[in-house]
Amino acid sequence: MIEKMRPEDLEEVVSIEEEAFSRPWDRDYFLNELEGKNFGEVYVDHVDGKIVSYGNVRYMFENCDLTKICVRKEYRHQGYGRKMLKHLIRKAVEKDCEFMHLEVDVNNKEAIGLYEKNRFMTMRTRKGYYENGDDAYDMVRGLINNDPKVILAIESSCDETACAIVDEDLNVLSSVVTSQIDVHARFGGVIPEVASRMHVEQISTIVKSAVDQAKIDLKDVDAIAYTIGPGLIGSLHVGGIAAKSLAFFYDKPLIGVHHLKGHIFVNEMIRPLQYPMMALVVSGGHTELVYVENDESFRIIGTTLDDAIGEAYDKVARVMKEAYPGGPVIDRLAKEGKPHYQLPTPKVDGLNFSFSGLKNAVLQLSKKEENSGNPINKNDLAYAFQETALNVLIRKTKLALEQYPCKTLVLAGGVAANSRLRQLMEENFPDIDLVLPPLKYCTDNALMIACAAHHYLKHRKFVSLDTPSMPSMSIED
Amino acid sequence: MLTLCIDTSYKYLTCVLIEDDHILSSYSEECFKRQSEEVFPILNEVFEKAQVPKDSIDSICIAEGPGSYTGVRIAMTIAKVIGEMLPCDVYTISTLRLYAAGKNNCMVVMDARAKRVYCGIYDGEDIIKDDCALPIEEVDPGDHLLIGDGQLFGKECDFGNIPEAFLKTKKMWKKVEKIAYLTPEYLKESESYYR
Repeated sequence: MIEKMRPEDLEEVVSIEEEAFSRPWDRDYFLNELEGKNFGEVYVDHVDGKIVSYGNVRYMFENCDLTKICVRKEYRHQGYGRKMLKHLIRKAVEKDCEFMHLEVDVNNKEAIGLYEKNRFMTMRTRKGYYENGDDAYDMVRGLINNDPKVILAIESSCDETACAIVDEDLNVLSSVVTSQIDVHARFGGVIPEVASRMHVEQISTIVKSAVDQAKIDLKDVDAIAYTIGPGLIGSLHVGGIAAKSLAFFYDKPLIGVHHLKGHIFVNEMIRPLQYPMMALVVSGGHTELVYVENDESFRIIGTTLDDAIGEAYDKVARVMKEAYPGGPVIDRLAKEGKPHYQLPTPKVDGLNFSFSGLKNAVLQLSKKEENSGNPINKNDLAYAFQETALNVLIRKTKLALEQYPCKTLVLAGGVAANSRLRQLMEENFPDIDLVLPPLKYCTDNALMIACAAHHYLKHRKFVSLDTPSMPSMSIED
Repeated sequence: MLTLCIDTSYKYLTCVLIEDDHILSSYSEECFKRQSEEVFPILNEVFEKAQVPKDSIDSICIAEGPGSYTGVRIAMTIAKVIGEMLPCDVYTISTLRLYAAGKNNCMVVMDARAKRVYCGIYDGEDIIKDDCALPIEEVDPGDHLLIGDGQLFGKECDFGNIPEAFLKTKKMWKKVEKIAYLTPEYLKESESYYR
């Protein structure tokens, strides 16, 4: 916890100072600050009974000088410097300062990086500023409306409980996920009541770890976001209540994010997205082609008429007596498979999809082989299914782009982690700005909800504390 | 000590602010299946009426169940998140014991659907029969004072004054040692869903 330095902190601060600097400030300097003689303040951060960092700011009317941030040696590279900097900025804002100024050694790349990330700009170089002849940069930042907005987001729509804290420059301050997949794997799918129970068990631990890892005070968060839908109602409830609890007790605006917008906007972790954009959303619950005209306008131009593609993967894996979830298993088996079995290509007009016929064809094929005494070659069956299913996605996406020309094509959802799908996308769409989501963010997480929530925040699209969860909400709403 | 008490475990939505031994403000109305939408606007009212800042609470006490699964999770989620983050102490009390409100020789019953009832027998601070879920025909109120869904046994449906019940049961609140491990009392194991 960061507090103003007290007399009993003096000796510890002086000893950290002496360890950290070749020309440390002396005791009297800190003593003067304690006695208020320097028009400044020293703040110290106590963690586990130890001072881990301290910082000093001096105020001069509307201006202030950040004269020092020091992190104890064994606590460096863990975000304590950023935490102290944010605190000092907040204190300066409270004192109605308009600018914060500092000098930094031009060789201190790490500190310069921290300041730049926090919107300081280099104004000039001071030649030979330090006693050893090193140059210094003069850096400054405005303090009025100039802090990147920070969102805490919670995701609980299915079987992952997750919380992330992300600023509007998409710096990930923390992202914590626990998956229940091991539990649900025992039954071959998600049991809604069990999922809800596990969300309640996990929720406070997940939120606390995200806040602790981000080293942020909840007071410094600009908005609380959560997945409002679609998803399992009981699961959505828990994340919704958790988010509303924080929004209520800390007086923060509340943002209800559509789950699939999260999957789409997480692609911004790769690079900024250009509009209009086509999103191929593929997961256990969805198979959709979404035309995104701008960050507020989403139109479903194609969808599945029966099973979602991820669902088809799960069911085919079950036919092959393989574990849940089916996606990774089939992807792995198919790599060893050869063209051998023939499966009918699903035929649906226009931009819509259908996978239940394909799933049944797999079932019948494996029964037929079994009855005629031929052991089924799982690798070849996985190959046949995967090639047939994924090529449907590619074909429909091409058709969609013919009808709705776009600047960017993004892949989104859990099935976006499929290695063969990523390969096919790259082979088939060389002439468009194709963005594939980072592998680790394909499955459900809260970072993606935060990415989308920044768009809601920009447009000030908030929800009230009495908004119900929406288990079957459409992305067009 | 300022305590926020919440019960969302069954038909009612009850929010109470208790300072030491008196109620500062309270709300308790029938609100079946709408608690998750109503709870925050009502909390807001309760804090405004009491004229205390939200972050000034020292503790939260919730009814932990049994009851509606979705219902018990509402107060439980609020208590876990706010208890951990604010932070503040968290206390729980069995929903049935809360409704017994420290009365002597009473049986509390709640409709658990599918011809079953949640049932507990209390005598003042003593638990005579632990909370359980039973087929309705196995429950005989006998000469106990009947509290809760009395209509199931041809009596009156009466849950008493729930805000007062929080105050009267204060000695029976259980302090939660590790908020992270706190879970609702469902009276039905998660394991049973795998069969």
